[in-house]
Amino acid sequence: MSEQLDLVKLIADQSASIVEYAKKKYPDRVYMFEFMNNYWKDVINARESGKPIVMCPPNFPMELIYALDAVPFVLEQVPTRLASGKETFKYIDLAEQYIPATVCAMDKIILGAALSGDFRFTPNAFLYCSLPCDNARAVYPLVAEHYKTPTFCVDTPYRRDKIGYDYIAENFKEAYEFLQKALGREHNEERMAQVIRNSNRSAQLLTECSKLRRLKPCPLPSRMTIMNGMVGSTMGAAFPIDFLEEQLAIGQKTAARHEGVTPGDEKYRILWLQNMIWSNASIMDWMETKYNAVSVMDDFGFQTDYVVSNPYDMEEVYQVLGQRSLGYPMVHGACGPAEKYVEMTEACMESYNINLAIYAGHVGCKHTWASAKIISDLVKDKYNVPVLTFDLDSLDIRYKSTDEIKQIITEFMETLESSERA
Amino acid sequence: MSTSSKLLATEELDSFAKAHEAQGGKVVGTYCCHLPEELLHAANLLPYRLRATGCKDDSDAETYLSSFSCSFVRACLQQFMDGNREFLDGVVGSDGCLMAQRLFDTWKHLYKDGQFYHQFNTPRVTGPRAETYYQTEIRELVAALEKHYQVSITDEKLWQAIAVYNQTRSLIQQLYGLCKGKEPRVTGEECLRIMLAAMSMRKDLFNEMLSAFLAEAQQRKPITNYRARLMLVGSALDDPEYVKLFEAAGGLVVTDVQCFGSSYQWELVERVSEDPVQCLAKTYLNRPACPRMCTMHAEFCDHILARAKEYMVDGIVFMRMKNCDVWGGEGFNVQEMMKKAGIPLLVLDREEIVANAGQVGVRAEAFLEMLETEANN
Ligand code: SF4
Ligand code: SF4
Repeated sequence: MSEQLDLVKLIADQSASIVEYAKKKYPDRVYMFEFMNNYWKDVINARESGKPIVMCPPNFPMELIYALDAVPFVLEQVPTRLASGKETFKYIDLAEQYIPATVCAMDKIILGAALSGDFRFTPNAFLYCSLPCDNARAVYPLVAEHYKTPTFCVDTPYRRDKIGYDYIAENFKEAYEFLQKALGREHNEERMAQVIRNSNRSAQLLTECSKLRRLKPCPLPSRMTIMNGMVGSTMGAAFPIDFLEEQLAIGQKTAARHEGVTPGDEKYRILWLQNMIWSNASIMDWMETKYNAVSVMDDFGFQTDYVVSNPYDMEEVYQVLGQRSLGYPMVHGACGPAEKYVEMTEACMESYNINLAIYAGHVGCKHTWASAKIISDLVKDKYNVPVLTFDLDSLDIRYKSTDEIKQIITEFMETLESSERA
Repeated sequence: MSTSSKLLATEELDSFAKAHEAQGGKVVGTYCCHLPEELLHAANLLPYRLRATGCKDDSDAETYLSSFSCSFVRACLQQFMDGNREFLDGVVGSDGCLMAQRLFDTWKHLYKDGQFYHQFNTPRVTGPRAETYYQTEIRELVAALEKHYQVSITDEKLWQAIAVYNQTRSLIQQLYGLCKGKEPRVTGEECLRIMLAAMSMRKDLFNEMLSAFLAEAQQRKPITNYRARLMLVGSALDDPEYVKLFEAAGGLVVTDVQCFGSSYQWELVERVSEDPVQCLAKTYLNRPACPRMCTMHAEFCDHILARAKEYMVDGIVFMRMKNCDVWGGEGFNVQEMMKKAGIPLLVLDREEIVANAGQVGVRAEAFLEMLETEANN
């Protein structure tokens, strides 16, 4: 294990070069890459300037961190950012010395990266949540213990009703008090209000973009489903607004021209029933080109919008952030009770005009695999829509390579097309 | 059959549930150590802990839960699919872990019609806020049971149930006490069989039977022909044959921390207030029973270490069920702690259906040999 690697800088540098490359090669995509570049720039700047950094999962409301003029370091951003490369291997291998190989690679990478020392900083505070899954709640406390920094655990309730919302709101209230103490910062009403206005705007824009995807043909590219899934990690900041506004404007223009994103007429509208293929977003581009197939929505990224009407009313702020957190990708229907997963799938099937579904089951996500049959049967039986099911590791390409995944999809699409011709 | 034989006849344990049903009683399945069974007892029900013991093939369940699931949970579902749980009148689910939750979800998907079912959620942190939330969950379950079974679960009935369960806990502590000192009188296999019995019958009956067993066992000659005192820690273990593999190799399993062993019922519910629900919430939430609790990892490991010392164990067998993240993560802490404490630890990956008994035997033998060598040095 190299002692020298500065992982945060590596990712930040990579993000910056992707932007430069896109400027020359794909100028129309620059705004997408600029979005993540801004996130990593923030982290690097904070690390260099000594601004407080808080480690947390994506389902913690970033608003409570930004409101204290601190920077969230969302640990899941590391695996998803590294997913397409070989950098993940050493972290996975290191983690597997301590925890079973069957733990989700998301969490193995997080643990491995923390233990390796490659983050090169100790966070000023550490937050974690008791959901979305057993993987995360097994690994986050280990990472917290490693840093021995002030830590708070949000107990994410399993119920999605008034009692659950009140409970999580109380948890967030306590988490915010904890943060003020840990960071030595005081609540600033105006700053909080601005952060909430930002996150309200992001939530509304996300909803608008999702609504556009209902149109046929879908005016936004498949890969935006992955990018939009990452907005949650930046809620409250100003930069995601630029990204979402640009995305919406592009989508609206394309829709006004009644155009889609496939070279020929849009033929397939795909719903991904489990995780997205983070390590292989290019597969979705390939499906657009090769099969005129657009990934219009995914069960993991499906978000609902809750907006704070009075950003000065902290009780309302906690309530809305609680509802958003319980509707966050991975926490919502996918983590269960299975009826919620069913409801979410039905909502996607019915709103997005789906005619093909893919259950690309990330192997570490065992609880969603354990509902795979219920979900795929629903799609096949209730909606008469074909489902392709296969396993992969969304974050470790050693498990199944891009070519192998493409081969599985090719065989399925060929069978589908030949049965349609018959 | 003598009382002892009845308690130890694991294969016949369902006869108690069937008899309860035949007499007009109702049997309700449960699966989590954080579910206060007293509520069901107070409603005159028999809480039956779902288990997989004896399952030889879980392939039907695998079509639902996938091969990426915990095989204990898969085999539990298979028991329904094989028609072995027809005496149940319903299931109280819980999000103890997400695998167990999927057992409940799939059970509902396939079998819920005409059955009682209720989702019970236990917080994953401790403290006053969590306790209040937990009390709400308890009160909701009480209301659901009252409505469905047309019974009234009064405070008085709850206090009575708590008294019965507290007696169970004391007797279980006495049972484990028979393994504790230098002159152990029961084996780990027997202990597990008795715990499985505890989960399969009304506790008043169990208390009578266990009292009789204890009286008899106290008269036994001490067990002396063992090579090392072992402790089993880890994912759900409901298979006495698995314990037998270690004891056949010459180990004596003197204690455990796992949910079909001492974690099932141990800490007495104390009367800290006049509200039985408050008392149940306090005890159940704060007991170091399971690594599912996010903020109790240090306490949980301390509990394992204290248990190991109290029972003078020579070595710990840490069993990780494949695909069990809850215990998989805890393994990190347990290994670190035992390394510091100088207690040898064997980490074994396992599946519910033991297809590699020979291999486990070989690992057990090697571990025992290592323990003996260490003891002689
Ligand atoms: S992908 Fe699934 S298993 Fe992995 S962290 Fe997310 S919810 Fe948990
Ligand atoms: S063995 Fe592990 S995964 Fe299986 S039910 Fe128990 S805690 Fe859950």
